[in-house]
Amino acid sequence: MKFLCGSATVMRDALSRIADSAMEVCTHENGQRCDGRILPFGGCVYFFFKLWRTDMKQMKLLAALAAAVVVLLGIWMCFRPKGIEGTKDLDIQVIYADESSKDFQISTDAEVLGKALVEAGLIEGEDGPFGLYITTVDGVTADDSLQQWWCVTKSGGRVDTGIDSTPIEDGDHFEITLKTGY
Amino acid sequence: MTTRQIVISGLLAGLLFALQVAMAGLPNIEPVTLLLILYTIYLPKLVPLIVCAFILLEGITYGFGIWWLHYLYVWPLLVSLTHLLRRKSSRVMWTCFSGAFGLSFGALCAIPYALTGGLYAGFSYWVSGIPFDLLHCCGNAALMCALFMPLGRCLSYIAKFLGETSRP
Repeated sequence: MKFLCGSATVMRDALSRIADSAMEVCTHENGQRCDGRILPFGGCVYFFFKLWRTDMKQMKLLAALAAAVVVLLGIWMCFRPKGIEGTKDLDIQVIYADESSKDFQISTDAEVLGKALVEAGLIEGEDGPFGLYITTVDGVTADDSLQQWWCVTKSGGRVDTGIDSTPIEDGDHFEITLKTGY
Repeated sequence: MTTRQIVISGLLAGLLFALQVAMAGLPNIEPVTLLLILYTIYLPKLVPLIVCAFILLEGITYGFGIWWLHYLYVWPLLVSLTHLLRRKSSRVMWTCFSGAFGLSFGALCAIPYALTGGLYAGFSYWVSGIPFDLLHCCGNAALMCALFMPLGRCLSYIAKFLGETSRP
């Protein structure tokens, strides 16, 4: 315990020194402080370490938030959707706007659905911040002006992951339906 | 409610919505949490109207899907919690609060899925979105940390203009 307290004190002193150095970066030549608003990088460094120098109650709040982040990260590492290696055969049913449908059989080594469908040339899409967004399936492009979009379901049930993070197993059946209206 | 208050509420709701749309391309990095917290602290009487207008605008623009149900309780919950903590003035506290709200956003949104599809469906929905919750936490905390003071000053001017006490 003594060792931990000692380490925390040493760390706090070191951070204070770094914060003082960062504060110097944020000081104008005439000695007037810009308080982190003019020099973005120096300001960010200064502000980050200034937080560490606040009182213990605020330190505890920050520590609690950091702990929550670590717990969530742990949960995600344990329970995140994971793909399986090896060859898989998939049944893909494409349902168009007029409710007609076409079936495709795909054999793939990919671990996620998006990669398998792109490799098979069945879908095209745009990479965005949330992952791949399907725009075209089997040559049919969703019309944004009609609020059309492609909906992916697995054996009729909702898929909770993006298409490029949806794991696949041998024999899986997916439907890709052109929906109208958001 | 006076005409002035209604007009200011409309403008602030419009600002909230415009900024949300402007930042929609960034994954779960949004100004809504920051602004709603500040509105609740500085303009508590206007916030119910602003939240209703914002939720309605979201539905009209993006459609009234199941995701829209989240908005019906997530943002009012944020406003309620903020109202309870409104006397706090520490930037660090509000930074942690907005970060924690970002972390819990996915879990809150998983509630309708858990109710309709079972606990497993809700859990898997929440787990698959955890990376976005972490981004949400970082984005909320960074925005709050950087803008709590300057935006707070702006809103206190508006509060004075409306004849409200700037802080409880």
